[in-house]
Amino acid sequence: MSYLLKEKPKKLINENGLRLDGRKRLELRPIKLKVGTLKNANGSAYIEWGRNKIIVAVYGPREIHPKHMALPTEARLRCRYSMAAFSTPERKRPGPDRRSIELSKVIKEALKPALFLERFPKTAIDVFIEVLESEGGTRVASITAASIALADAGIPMRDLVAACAAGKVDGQIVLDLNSAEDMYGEADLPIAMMPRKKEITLIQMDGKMSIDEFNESLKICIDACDKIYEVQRKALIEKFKV
Amino acid sequence: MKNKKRKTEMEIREIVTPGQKISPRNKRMGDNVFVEEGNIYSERMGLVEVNEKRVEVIPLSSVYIPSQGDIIVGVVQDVTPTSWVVNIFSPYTAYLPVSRAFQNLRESEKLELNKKIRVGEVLVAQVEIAGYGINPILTLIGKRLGRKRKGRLIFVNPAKVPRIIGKKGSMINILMKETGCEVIIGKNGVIIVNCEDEEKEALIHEIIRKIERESHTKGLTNRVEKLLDEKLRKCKK
Amino acid sequence: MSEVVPPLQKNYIANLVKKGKRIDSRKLDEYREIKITPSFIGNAEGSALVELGGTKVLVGIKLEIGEPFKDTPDKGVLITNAELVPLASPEFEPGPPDENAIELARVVDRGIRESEALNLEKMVIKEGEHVWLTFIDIHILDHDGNLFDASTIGAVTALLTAKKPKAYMENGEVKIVDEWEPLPMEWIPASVTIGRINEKLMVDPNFEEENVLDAKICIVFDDGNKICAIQKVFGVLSIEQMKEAVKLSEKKSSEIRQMIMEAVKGEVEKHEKRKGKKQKNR
Repeated sequence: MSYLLKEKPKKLINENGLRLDGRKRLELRPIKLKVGTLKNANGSAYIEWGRNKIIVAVYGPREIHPKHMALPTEARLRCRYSMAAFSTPERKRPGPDRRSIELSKVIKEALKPALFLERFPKTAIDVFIEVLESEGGTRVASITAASIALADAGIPMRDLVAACAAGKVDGQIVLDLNSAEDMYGEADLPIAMMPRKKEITLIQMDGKMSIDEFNESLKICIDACDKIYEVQRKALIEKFKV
Repeated sequence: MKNKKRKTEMEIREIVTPGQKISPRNKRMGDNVFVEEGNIYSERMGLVEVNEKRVEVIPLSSVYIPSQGDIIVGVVQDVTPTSWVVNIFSPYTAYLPVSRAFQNLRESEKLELNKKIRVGEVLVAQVEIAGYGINPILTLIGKRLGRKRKGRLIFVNPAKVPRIIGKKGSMINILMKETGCEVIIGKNGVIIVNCEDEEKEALIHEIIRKIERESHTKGLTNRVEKLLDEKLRKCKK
Repeated sequence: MSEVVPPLQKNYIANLVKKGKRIDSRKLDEYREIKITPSFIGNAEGSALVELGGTKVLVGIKLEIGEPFKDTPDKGVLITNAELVPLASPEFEPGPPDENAIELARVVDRGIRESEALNLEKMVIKEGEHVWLTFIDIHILDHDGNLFDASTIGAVTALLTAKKPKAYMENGEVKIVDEWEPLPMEWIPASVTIGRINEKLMVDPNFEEENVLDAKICIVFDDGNKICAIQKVFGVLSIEQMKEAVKLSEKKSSEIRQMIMEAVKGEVEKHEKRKGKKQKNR
């Protein structure tokens, strides 16, 4: 909790180039990923990304309810991003707010291009994301975990989706913003991609960045996504070690 | 401890993840692979099976998508004026039309379908009609099809069914021969085990779970045979 | 439920785009005609009707005095809401805002908030107690594609023309005087929506084009050559396409900004004239 400050700290990066949580500028927080943690779901994953703790379940393809939601030529992908009341420093009122509705939507759009949805017409694939603890960057952690939960469910995919954010903090471009940096930094740029073909499936930005800064951020995100991709693949294969 | 050691010695076949490149495009494509820019990729978590001619991926997990000719185990869920609605544990609910269950039904009987086959009954049926995004039509007309009133149900991931059946039925035949029990395996991952003796039923359950867990390892049939042997000897004692 | 788009329509549009043409004979980097009518609603503190081709969006600004958020006692409050009114499209249904309406509102909000267009620090009457609440309400009246840009143009124009009464503290109470002043606007952000079909990018996709796009992205620039918001709405983009989209949107955003400034300038003059007349009549 030490660096979860109520007021903006004077410096988010110190004179030695270290951030509040002791990381270097282009250092990822530690990522732990576990596949198949839930019994009932068709696929599931649990991710710890820094202090973010997120659990994802995939149900489906399954019969769709209500029936009129059925699409004639593909499965309907539905995502629900939800934060537990105790997941934030101040209690979050349970239930969907506008932020989580938007996040549910952009996460869905980030995962959708990776799936062969046309294989399962008229069905639903439901992705349930529960943020148990948040420390900045929950959407990229959610996407990273959801994509392997989908693979765990045996849903045909073109590629996994890896995600990471970059941003601008104290005038410097940094990788993987924590909550203080997200809150007090100058810009936040979450990106998700299918690493095999380097296709961007999620990109959002808020804050202010020049085009050069944007390009640099994009580059460090791509490199990070490649690393995260390896973590994802390892976690998937780990499940089947006997 | 001993057990654990044996486990680590098992040989695992190569596991691929979605989007992983398997081979250049110079082979016939089997299931669960796709082509992009001259290469063949896996579209699922699974085991690669590749030889000079053909490449495919055996999935480690899947849901059941009905296909014509499949033998499945289902549970009657509802009755309509002309058919029974059957849960086949798939995204697509199945229908069993009256004509595919009884061939000569009297008019009076047709008005009381709910008494002919009741909600909750377990059926072994064949998929007669299935297609893209279509609710499949089942039939009970055929050898060994019909209602089942005895035994226990075991649910497995449909992806594991081929391993539980084994090559040309090798695994299932060993199970049935050694235990003397009836084992019906639905393509949809629902299994009916029917034994005289509960201990044997429990043993079959244990073995099915073992196959499910270790389906991606080599030499599984031998290990199952050995385990069966040991356990059955204990049963006799 | 959205209608099924026949593949033939997609192929037709895609083939045109490949040749650098479009169904409404625009160039790939050309916007439809933009018509901005500021101060459309008398009862609103600020408003603008924006017509972008066949898309019609009305934005109204309402101001209220209220409490600041606890974590920002020194700032006014900005609240953006979008209504996809059922009269605008057969696809819109009555009921609470769905994910599309919420996404639209949040992207417009982000462009304005992150560019710091409206200086919220100057919207404070007494720190921690009384601040101005600025409500941006976006009403989609006719949907012919590219709601993001039309809505941002509308919101920014409405903010630029909005007026608020002077307010001050007296004996621990807020006093409002009938002296109106413009809102503390510091930047004019402009949003540019770009669509991709196959390998080609285009700006300002209309409804027919949106239905067949492979990807859509919205990029907002402040007017100091900085990106202040990005939202990929659907589909995928390669890294090169992303960089191209950023360049393209930088160029187009300055054109849109010019248009907004033109529209507002006229409005200010009209306002001055009206004022002049009134004075003459006296």
